[in-house]
Amino acid sequence: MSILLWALLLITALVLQTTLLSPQQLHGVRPDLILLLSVFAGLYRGETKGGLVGFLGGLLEDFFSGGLLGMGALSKTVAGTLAGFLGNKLYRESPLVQLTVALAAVIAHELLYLCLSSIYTVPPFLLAKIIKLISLNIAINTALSLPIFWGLRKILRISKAKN
Amino acid sequence: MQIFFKYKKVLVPIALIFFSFLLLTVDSVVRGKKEKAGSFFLAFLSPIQGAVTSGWDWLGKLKERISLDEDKGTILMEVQHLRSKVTELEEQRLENQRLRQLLAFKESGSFKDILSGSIGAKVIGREPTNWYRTIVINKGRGDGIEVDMPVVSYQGVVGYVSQAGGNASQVRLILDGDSSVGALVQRSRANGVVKGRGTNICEMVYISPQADIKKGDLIISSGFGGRYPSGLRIGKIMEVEKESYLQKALVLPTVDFSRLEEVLVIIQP
Repeated sequence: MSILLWALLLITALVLQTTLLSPQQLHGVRPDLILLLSVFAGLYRGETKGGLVGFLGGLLEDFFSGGLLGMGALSKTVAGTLAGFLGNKLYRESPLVQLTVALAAVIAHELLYLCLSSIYTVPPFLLAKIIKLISLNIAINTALSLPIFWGLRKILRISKAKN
Repeated sequence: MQIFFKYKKVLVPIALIFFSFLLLTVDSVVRGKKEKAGSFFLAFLSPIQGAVTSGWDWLGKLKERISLDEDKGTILMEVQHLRSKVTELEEQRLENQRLRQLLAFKESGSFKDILSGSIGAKVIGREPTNWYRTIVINKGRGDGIEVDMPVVSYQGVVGYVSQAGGNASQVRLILDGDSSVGALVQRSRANGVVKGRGTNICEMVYISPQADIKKGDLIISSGFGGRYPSGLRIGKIMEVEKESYLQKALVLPTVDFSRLEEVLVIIQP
């Protein structure tokens, strides 16, 4: 998959997340498409690409968010890399493996983001609310991982066939 | 360089993580520096975001519009259905009211014997012209109806059966020019004959010049001639015309022929 296609996917994910999938429209919880894209890149293209896509996607997200620059980049780099490591060790074509890898990567991402928030930005009394939100994020992103991975694999195949 | 490629899988993620930490630390110390880079991305992405949001809004509005149109259609159909239901119920109420009046008339003391064997019938047809001459009822020979039988309503005399079919009959109204009913003025007992004129007003003729008649007097059937039983209401005198050897009067029938819907056919006059 060319760099251009990855860039297009990242931009599409960002646009969708900031418009149609904005938190207001889904009761405060939104699917993290950039995270799922990073996990997918790690799972199918290895930890280097997973980390790179996570870093760039997270950085892009950080520019649009009110948080600190690097928070999204760091947590998504870790998630993408973790997915890459796990994908190399497991049979990634199995839906159960995909779901498990997605769950692990999403949990790692959310926990890291929570830690960084508590260190750098968020006052402690807000953490309880954030933990609740993170639990929902984990649930929704893990649930969405399988259909999104399926769609991305289709895109990969079409792209390969054209090349 | 060879070492880098050898350990690329580990080094790249470590480098990225390190760089992210660096960014995070720098940004937490010197806040607000990301705005310049952010504004660049914003300028690039905002038209796309705007287009996506507008497109989504447009789709939402379209969906809402379609849904509203469907709702409107359903509501209009429901309103029409309810209106027809209301009309139907009102019709039933009015019919019920008329039938009660007819029944009360049938069972009233003075006409109980005469009307005991009468048959109730519904008006199913009217004169196709503007002349008030005949009506068609939904009972015929199969129901025991025969020609010349008198037809009444709770308001008074209607006419007589002029033709009897199997399941329906034609009734000649007292308004018809060929129709005549033996009548008397209820107050003064003056005799005469009520004849039709082809309009909604009849005339009473052959009244003695000495007879005491005046406007507003009630005319009832006298029973002379044998067709109609005595004592049935025919109409009220509207106007009296005195002639040298006889009197005649215009009579407004008590029956409202334009709204006649149920009648009684008297089997044994």
